[in-house]
Amino acid sequence: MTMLAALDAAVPGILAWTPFLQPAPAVDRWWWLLVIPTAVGISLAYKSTRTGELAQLPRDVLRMSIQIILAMVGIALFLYLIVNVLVPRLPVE
Amino acid sequence: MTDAPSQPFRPLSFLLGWIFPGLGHIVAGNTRRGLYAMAGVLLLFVSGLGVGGLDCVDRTEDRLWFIGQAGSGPIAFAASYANDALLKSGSAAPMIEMPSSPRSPKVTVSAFKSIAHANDFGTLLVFLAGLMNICVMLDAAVREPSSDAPVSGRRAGERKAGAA
Repeated sequence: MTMLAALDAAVPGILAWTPFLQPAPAVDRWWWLLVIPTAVGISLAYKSTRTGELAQLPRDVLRMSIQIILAMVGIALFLYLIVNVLVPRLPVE
Repeated sequence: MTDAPSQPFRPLSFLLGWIFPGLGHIVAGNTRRGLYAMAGVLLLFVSGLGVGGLDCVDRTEDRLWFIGQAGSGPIAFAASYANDALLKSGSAAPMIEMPSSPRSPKVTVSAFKSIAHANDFGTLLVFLAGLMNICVMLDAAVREPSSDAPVSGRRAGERKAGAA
């Protein structure tokens, strides 16, 4: 499912959504997008303690966020290949 | 291994960092660093509550998760209290009966209870906020007041070499 299709599916639920009381609508369709705030939040909190010059913080946060997201995508592709390509080719008996 | 000088542990900064994310840095004079740390931890915490709702912070039903979430400080306890007061009491949404076998006792939960991916990610995000805040608290406790210099790590070595 594309990102636009996932967001489009979530729109009707958003109209009746009470933030912070109810779970966000249609998370089952766009849960994978949550890797972005997760990566940015972890990077921002971590780099705020590790970056020497705070002027470099945005660059460091961006770089670490991209590294986390690419690593997660790589792990996902690796597991996809194992589950959907390698395992079906294994002999049954 | 680094040769950065060790800093004394400051329990007050550590405690202030637990009371509110980034407060330990701010009180010690590292205001900008504290604000950035606060933004990072709160981004995770608010994202978690936004995705999973208040139900993803529950100190009675999800005790193990809550141990990590409590690293965020009183805001985690406040969210858990709000969960009890608003959702579990039925004041924010009607209570609905969960499907169960005929012999088991009837269980009612809030209609706003989060399940599946929403609950998983909400709980995880708030948990990560707690863990990252513990890192921030430790940094606040050993960082020199009114200093933006890193206290350890690769960058500290670079900075020291550059200053020499």
